[in-house]
Amino acid sequence: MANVTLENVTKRFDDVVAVNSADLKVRDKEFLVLVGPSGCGKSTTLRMVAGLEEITEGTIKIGDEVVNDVPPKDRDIAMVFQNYALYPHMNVYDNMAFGLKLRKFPKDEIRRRVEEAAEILGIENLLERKPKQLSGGQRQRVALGRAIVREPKVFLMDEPLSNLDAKLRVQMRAELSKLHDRLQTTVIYVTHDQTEAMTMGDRIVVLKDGFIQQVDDPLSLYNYPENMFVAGFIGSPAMNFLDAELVKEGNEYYLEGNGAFKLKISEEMINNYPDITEAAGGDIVFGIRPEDLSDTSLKQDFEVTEDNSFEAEVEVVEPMGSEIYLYLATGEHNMIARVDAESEAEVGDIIKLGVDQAKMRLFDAETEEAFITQSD
Amino acid sequence: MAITLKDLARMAGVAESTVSRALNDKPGVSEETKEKILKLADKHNYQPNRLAQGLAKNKTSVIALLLPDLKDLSYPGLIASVEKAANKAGYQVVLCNTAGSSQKAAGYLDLLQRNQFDGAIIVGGTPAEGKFLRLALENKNNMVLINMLLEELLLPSHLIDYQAEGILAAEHLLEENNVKPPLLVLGNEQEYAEMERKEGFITTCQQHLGSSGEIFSGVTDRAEGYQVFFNIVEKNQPPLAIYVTENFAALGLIEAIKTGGYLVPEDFQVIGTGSDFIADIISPKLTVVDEPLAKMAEEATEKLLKMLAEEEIDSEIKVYDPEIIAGGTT
Repeated sequence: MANVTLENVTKRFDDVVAVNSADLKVRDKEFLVLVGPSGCGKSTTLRMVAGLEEITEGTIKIGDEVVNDVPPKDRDIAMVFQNYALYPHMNVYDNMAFGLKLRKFPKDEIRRRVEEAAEILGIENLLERKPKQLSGGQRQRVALGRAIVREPKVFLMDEPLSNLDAKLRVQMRAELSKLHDRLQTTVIYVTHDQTEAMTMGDRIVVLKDGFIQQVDDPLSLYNYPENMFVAGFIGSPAMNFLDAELVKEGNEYYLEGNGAFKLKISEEMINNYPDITEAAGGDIVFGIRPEDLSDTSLKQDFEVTEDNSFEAEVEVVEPMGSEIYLYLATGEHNMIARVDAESEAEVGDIIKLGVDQAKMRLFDAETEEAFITQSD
Repeated sequence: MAITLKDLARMAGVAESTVSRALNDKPGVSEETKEKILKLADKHNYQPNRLAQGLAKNKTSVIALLLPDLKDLSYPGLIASVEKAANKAGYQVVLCNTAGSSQKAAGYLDLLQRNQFDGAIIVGGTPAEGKFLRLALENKNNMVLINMLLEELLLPSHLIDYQAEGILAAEHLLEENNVKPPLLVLGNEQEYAEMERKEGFITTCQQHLGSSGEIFSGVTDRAEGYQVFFNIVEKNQPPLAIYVTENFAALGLIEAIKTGGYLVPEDFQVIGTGSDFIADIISPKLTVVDEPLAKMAEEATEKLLKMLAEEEIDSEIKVYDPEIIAGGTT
């Protein structure tokens, strides 16, 4: 049982601020993912929780205990990194058990813990095997087993899957999620891979340049990014950002893309987010996810009108099997549309793109903050 | 008095930086000048100042050897081996005694982090502490471990297979004497190496005989070894084969056997651990399970030097198998 709390935590390396007054409450038994590009401070944050990195300012608590000055070994945590050592002369049992042996645990207790961990990981029948007789996935499980036998309050994982090939990574992702359900323990997981974050996290913390950008569950993060960084970082292919001017005509508001498009903002959206109107007559950034742009020659869920569609030229067609990525251009704007596999669009075609108005996202051109956020 | 870069510059009538470029084969100096400088350097037997060179390149050409204690009899051999390999490559070795204290180890690792050493070889069996992991995560490729296991990370490591020692000792003793379980005389049972030897030994005895013999533990010196014999000889059917993990204890034990009027190896067979000077002075010479420490230390040092030179290393973890070196006690 353990919450992890960061209060106003700052880490400076000389003049560089790696983590800037981070406030974060990791809930008990939660799978929390820290994600961001390299240098965003995610690993530093994890290492401060682990006690490998001293904190410059602030407080870190594990459970109710302030651990600022507690050495790593006394923090009741276990760490898993991408590079772990499986010792070739030891069988799986010993590879999992040696840490406990070194800590002088009684033999019976070691056996209980290793057998329990092996069962959770589904490697009970491999305990007598040597590492070289294991597959990549099995090896990874042994490394996890080594952390599990410590029965920590919190697991800290720093990109544990990044050394695996793509197929195994997908498999281990699912296994780690299942494992978390079984262990019922708090996990803090660091990755640079937004797909990993989206598929595994109960909640996700997006970091950039040492600042926490947003903390949310995966869907909220995807649907209601609070700024352009989060909007662009989460999702693949990334959200399209088109520079536009917000034009008021009568009581209606339009996104005017320098002659390339003119799209109406729904009344509902204006009513729900009246701040948008303050940008009228000025620049605004129109954000739209690739799957919310559609090929209007195919059947649509919404009625296609002049107000919610525009034309663009197809520059590249990438068939993905179940869908097609179209790389398009109109005027100065470039974008990607993720359209149905039935689309017959070809390179050089001018096609009409439909925009799902409810999915339009708008950002302040200067602050890059979102106008459309999740209503509480 | 040794000639310096400054002297060469004066003699050649050029700037010191020009001399440096010529000597280091860097661009920015004419062929003619370069030749002149090289001739002068050769004539006056110019040797670059290591310290100054180190300052410029942020290198010290010093590696640290961290040892957990200085009592272990196998360490002098290990130290000599590290030093020999390091010296050959132009490196000096500094000995650091951590005395099993993580704080002391952290102090030495601090020096490594601050580039006071180019690299470190770390010997020991304790789980890694924060400072150590922190440093390992920097991926500077400047540490090699000897007989140290890491739970979280992979660092280049050279290890003795201790369990194999116990297995070898048991098999050797059972070859000659395959009915009665041999006796095991352990040192500090809390030490990882001893736990592993014990496990290997007992498991092998059980496989061969269906049972394992008596165990004495905490027997580390001559007097304690001596006493062990008096404890077993009183019994009806004392064990006739004995595996001792500390050679000082083996020395005492064999003295006691002889004092009791028995013969080694005719009446009692004894096998020790490591071919050190004690194994040599025991008469007859002690049969031992030998740990290839010198070879391991040499190869660990070579690996570290390769890493410091940013060369590829072939394997991260290397495990060394012990072997029986037959003396006269079995």
